[in-house]
Amino acid sequence: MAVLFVANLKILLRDRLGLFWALVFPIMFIGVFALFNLDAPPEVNIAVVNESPGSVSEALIDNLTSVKMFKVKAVDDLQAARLDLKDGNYDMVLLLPAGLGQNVEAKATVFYSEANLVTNQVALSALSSFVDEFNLQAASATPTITLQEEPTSTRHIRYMDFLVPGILGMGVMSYSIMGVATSLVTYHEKRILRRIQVTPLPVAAFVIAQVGAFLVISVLQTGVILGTGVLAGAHLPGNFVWAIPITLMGNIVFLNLGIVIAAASKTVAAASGMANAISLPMMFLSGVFFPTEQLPPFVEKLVQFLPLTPLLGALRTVLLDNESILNAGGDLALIGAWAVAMVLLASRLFKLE
Amino acid sequence: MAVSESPLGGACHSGMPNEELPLEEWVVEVESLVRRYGDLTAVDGVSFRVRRGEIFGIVGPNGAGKTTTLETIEGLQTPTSGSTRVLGMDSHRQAAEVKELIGVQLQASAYFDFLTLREILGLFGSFYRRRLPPQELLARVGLQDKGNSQVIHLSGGQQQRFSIIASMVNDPQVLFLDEPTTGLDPQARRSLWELIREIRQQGTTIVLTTHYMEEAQTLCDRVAIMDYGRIVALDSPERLIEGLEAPFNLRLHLSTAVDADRLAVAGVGRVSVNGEGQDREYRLQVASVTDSLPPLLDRLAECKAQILDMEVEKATLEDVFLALTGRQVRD
Repeated sequence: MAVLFVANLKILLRDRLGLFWALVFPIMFIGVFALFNLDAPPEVNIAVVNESPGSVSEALIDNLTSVKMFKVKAVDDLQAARLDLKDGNYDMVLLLPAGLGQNVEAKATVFYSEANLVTNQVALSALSSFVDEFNLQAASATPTITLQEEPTSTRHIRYMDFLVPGILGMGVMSYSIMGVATSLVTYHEKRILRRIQVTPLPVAAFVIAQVGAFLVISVLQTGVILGTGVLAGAHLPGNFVWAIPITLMGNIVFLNLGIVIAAASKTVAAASGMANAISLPMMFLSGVFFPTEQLPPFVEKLVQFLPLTPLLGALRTVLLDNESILNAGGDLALIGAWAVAMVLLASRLFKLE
Repeated sequence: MAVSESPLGGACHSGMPNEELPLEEWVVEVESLVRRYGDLTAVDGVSFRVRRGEIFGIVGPNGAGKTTTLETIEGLQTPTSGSTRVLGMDSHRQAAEVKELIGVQLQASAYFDFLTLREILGLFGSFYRRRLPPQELLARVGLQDKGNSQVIHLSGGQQQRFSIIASMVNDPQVLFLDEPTTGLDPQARRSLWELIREIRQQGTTIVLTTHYMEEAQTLCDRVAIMDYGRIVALDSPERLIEGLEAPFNLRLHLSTAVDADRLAVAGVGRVSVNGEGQDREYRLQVASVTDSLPPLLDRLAECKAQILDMEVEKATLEDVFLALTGRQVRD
């Protein structure tokens, strides 16, 4: 059995294409996402049409300019500015009408493009509060509301922090499903399983040794992906050691799913097609790249039962939220249920004839 | 792969089973074996026994039931009825014990990518209680320098020889070879015949299937000829051929074309004509050349045909199959 296990490990370690999918491919994902500066605050280009020169408007413009996300540009022609807004050259146009600060009727107005609404939502609310305050000041001469920044104690989670545990789950899933499904079908096609059948070794022992070798690679995979994630700037305060039992549990689910796929496929192409058809949608639905909270509520409820969702949940609980593995108990129970179901299904379906 | 490259080249000679075999021991016993797949009866009541130390061939066209018979003996397939025994043990009820003692080379089976020859032999050896060192096995087929290569880097003949030693990692008492030379060029095939004889020489009983009649005739001590799931004849190739009504072939090239029926003079069995024009060859099965030649010459004189070329040869196993089934083995 030891010889068999070592042989399987050698096969996996010498299979460069397989290792590419296990290690390099997830790292590429992390690298590509690191290129996008997803955590930088959006930049908002504001054209200010100042028709009311004076200390009041100057003060407002100064205030605006001091906000980091606003790029303020003074323009003269409101109509031209609104056309530019339509073309997307500006995100917003702020009109300071004549008599601002003297005439109660003269109110500062914000123009924005609805096409830009989503990206500008944050900026719009910030600018609106500026303008509202100003209008109020202008009307009553005394500020009734003052905004104060309230620093909170909650740690700011950046996208990379969210992504890296997701990529780890994705890597574990795709390598296990694809690796086992294609190798078993290849062994069947090359009649290697039949060849083992004529020896005293039970074929189940061969499959178990192969699963064991995949688990070793999985530990390697966990280290490489988390290490790369940290190098790419992910801040994961949790204890990485907890990631190992969690990914191993996930592996039991996905390796057995791979065996089920192998049992249902006649050719390698069919096996890899089926593996992709299962793992690609799950990758998006289970929240590798985006939180599942962003899905429609009923879909969100459904995807909680996919095997990848609790795996990602448990990984983020221990790595991102720095909580004890016991707090991921619900997720682990769900993974465990999937593991039992998949082992039973795999041992029932995987026959040699 | 040239024969001379093999350390076994010329080391042994083909021959009859050891006549002085002190006690006849049956290492394989097949009794009334039937194997059905739904409506198809692949094996239809086959019985035979294999002696220790012989090369036993199961021959016949593709689809005759050879592989099914072999795989049932090996324990890979379950008989519908009847029994198969190896070394006195039932190959299904005592499958684990039987598997320890036999070696099996499957038809068109391959080995692992990414493992070296030595690693594969070590791996398969680890499945058995008794095992031979990989280097010794490699040396037997002249692959001792290839121990660290992978299977894909071997030639077709080398792959086939490796596949045979890989089925001998447990030093088996009986070796089963399913179509061992299919797909090999004639030189590699001859080299493999030498290897098989050499293995037998060292005391291993060999049961093989083939659809090459020439191979069965030169290699096997006894053959079972199968057709449509049944054994139609079983004996040594020599005796099967001698048993023919017309055990000789007379091959003629004539100066002018003659109707085949006209050549069927006394003592001439089947007449077949192959080729056209200059290459047209008449093949006459005859019981005795000396008896048939005078009337044949008379007939050719009547037809005003002259013999350009004449060859006499002993009939082959191919002729036996033709005589038994009325068909040729050719796929």
